[in-house]
Amino acid sequence: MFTLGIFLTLGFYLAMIFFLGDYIANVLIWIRGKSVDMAAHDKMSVRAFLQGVCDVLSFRRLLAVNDVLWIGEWIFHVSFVLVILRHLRYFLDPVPPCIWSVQTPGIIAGYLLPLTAMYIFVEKYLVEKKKYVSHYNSLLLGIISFISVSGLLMKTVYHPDVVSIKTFIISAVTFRFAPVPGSSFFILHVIFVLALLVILPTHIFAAPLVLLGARQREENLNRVIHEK
Amino acid sequence: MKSRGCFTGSLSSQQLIELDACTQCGECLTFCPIQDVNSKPSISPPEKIRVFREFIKATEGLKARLFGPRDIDRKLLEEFTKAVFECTTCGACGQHCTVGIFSQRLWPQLRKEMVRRGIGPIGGQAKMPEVIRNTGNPYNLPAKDRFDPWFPAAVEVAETADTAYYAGCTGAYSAQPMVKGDVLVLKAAGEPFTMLPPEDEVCCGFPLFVSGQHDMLEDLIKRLVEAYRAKGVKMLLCSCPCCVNIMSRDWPIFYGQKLPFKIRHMTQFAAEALRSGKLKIRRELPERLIYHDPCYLSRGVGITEEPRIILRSIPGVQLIEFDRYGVNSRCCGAGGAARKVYPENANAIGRSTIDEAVKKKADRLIFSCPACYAQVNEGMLNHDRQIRIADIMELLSSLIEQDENSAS
Repeated sequence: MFTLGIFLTLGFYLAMIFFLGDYIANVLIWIRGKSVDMAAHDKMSVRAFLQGVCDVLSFRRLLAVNDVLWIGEWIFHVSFVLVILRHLRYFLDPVPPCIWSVQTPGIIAGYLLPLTAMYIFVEKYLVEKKKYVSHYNSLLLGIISFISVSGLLMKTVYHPDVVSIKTFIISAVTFRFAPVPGSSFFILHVIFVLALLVILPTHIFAAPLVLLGARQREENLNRVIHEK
Repeated sequence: MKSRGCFTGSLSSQQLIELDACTQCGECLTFCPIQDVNSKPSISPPEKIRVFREFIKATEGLKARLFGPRDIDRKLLEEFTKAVFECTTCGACGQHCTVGIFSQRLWPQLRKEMVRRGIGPIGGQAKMPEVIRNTGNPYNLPAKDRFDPWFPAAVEVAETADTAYYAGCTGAYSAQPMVKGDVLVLKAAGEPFTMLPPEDEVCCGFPLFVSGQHDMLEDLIKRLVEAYRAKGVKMLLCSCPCCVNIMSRDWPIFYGQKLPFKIRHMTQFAAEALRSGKLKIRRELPERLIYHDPCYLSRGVGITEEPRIILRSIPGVQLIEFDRYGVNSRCCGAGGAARKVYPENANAIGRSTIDEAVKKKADRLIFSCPACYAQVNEGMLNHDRQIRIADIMELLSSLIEQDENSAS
C-alpha cells in the first residue's frame, strides 16, 4: 500500500502541475490579447458588477433559456462546490469551523450530486435530444458521476478508515508519502478525481469573468447611441 | 499543406476569455437562424468555438509551450473558415448564451484571423476591398447613381449644417424607398441637413469589418469622419443599422479618438420629432403592423423602443410582435455579408420571417434596415406566402406628406 501511496501522491502532484500549468498557459494567452476591446462603450459599474455576481451565483442566463435544465444544473454545481468544501476537512489540520459548518449540507449535496448528474443526462440526451452533444461534457459528467457514486458508497456502505485517508491526504499536501488506505473504492475515487483535475474545463474560471462582462454590456447597450 | 503560427493576434483579451468560457452546452443552437435551415454541427456556435480553441491550444497551449507548436491541417482550417463565414453574425447565440459571450463581435474577429491567414473570405466577399476602392461601395455600382435615382427634387441639402445624413450603400442602391423616406422625414421635420457628395459618401466599412477584411478600414473611416468634420457636423443620421453599428462602436477605434459628432439612427430622430411636435402624422392607417428588429440595431446598439414609438403614434395602427422581438429578435437572413455567398440559407431564413408575419395575420411587415428589406423582398420571390413590406421611414413619410406619397 505504501508503494501505491507513492504512485497516487506523485499522480496528485502531476495532476496539479498539469492543472495549474494549463491554467497559467491560458491566462498568458488571455493577457496577450489586444488591450483595446472592440466593444468600446463598456465601463463596469458597481451595479453591473453586483448583478453580474448574482448572475454567476444564480445561473440566471441559463434560467432564461432553459428552466428545466437550469434546476438540475444549478443544484449540480452547488452540490459540487459543497462536496468540495466538505472534503477540505481531509486537507486541513486543524479543520476550521467554517469547514465543519458545511459538513451536513455537504452530505446532502453528496446525495444530490449523482442524482442531478443523472437528471442532466436524461434531460439533455433523452428528453430534449440536444442537437449538439459535447463529448467532452459527457465525459466530465461520467467522471463526476463515478466519483460521486463511489464517494457515496464509501459514505453509506463500505466505510473506509477515515483516519488513514486523512493521514494519506495530509501527507500528500505536505510533500510526504504515506500508505494509501486499503479500500479499492477509495483508490478508484482518487484516480478519477485526479483525472477530473487534469481535464477540468477552463470555463470554471473564464465563465464568471464573461458573465460579469455580459452584465456590463447589457447595462451599457442603451448608452451606445443614446448618450446625451 | 500545414499551417502554424499564433491564432490569437486578431482577438482582444475579453474575446480570448470568451472562447475559454464557452461551456459547450449547446443552448444557443435553439436560437441560431443557420441551425434552423442547415443543421450541420460543424457550423454551430459551440463547435466553432471548440475548433478554434483547439487551434489555439495546438499553437500556444501548455503542450505547445513545452514541446513546440503542432501543425494544423489546411483542410481543417478551410472547413472552419467555411463555418465561420456561413454565420449571419446576428448575435442571437450570444444574446441567449448561458455565459453571455458577445458573439456578434466575436465571429467577425474570428473571420479576421482566417483572412489574415489567407484562407478567408469566401466567394465574392474577397473582391469587396477592390470594389470599394474603385467605386466607393460594395455593389460595384457607379458613385454618380448613388443619390440621383431616388433623391426627391423638392428636398434641399445644405452646404453645411449641424445635422448630416448618410444614406449608406445598401439603402442608396437597393432600398431606395427607405432612403427617400429618410430625407422626406427630415424635410417634413424642418431639419436643415447636409450630405457628402456621392463620390465622397463612401462605404462605412461595415462589409469589410464583418467579413474580416480590415486593411482599408482606417483610411475609409478617417476619410468619412474628416469630411463630416469639415462640414461642421454635430450629429450624423443614418437609417442602416449596420452603418450605425460600425459608426458608433468602431469608428472611434479606427479614427483613434472620440468622434467629433454624435451618431443617431433615423428612428431616434423621427421619434423625437414626433414627440416634440416637429413631425405630425396626418393620416390614419387601419392596419395590423408587425415590426422586425434588425440584429445590428437591437442587439447591436440597443434601438428597440424608438421604432415602436413611431409605429404606435400612427392612428389606427395595431402593432403586433414576432415571437422573438427586441434584443431577442430573429435574423432575417441578410446578416454577416453571407447573403450573397449562401443565398439558400438567407432565403430560407427570410421566408421564415415572412411565414411568421403571415401566420400572425399582419397586414404589413415593417423594417428599419435596408438589408432586411432587400432580403425579405427577395425571399418572397416564388414563395407561397406573401406579405406587403415597408421600411419604417417609407411608411412614416407617406403618412406625413399628403401630396407626394401614398401609404399603399
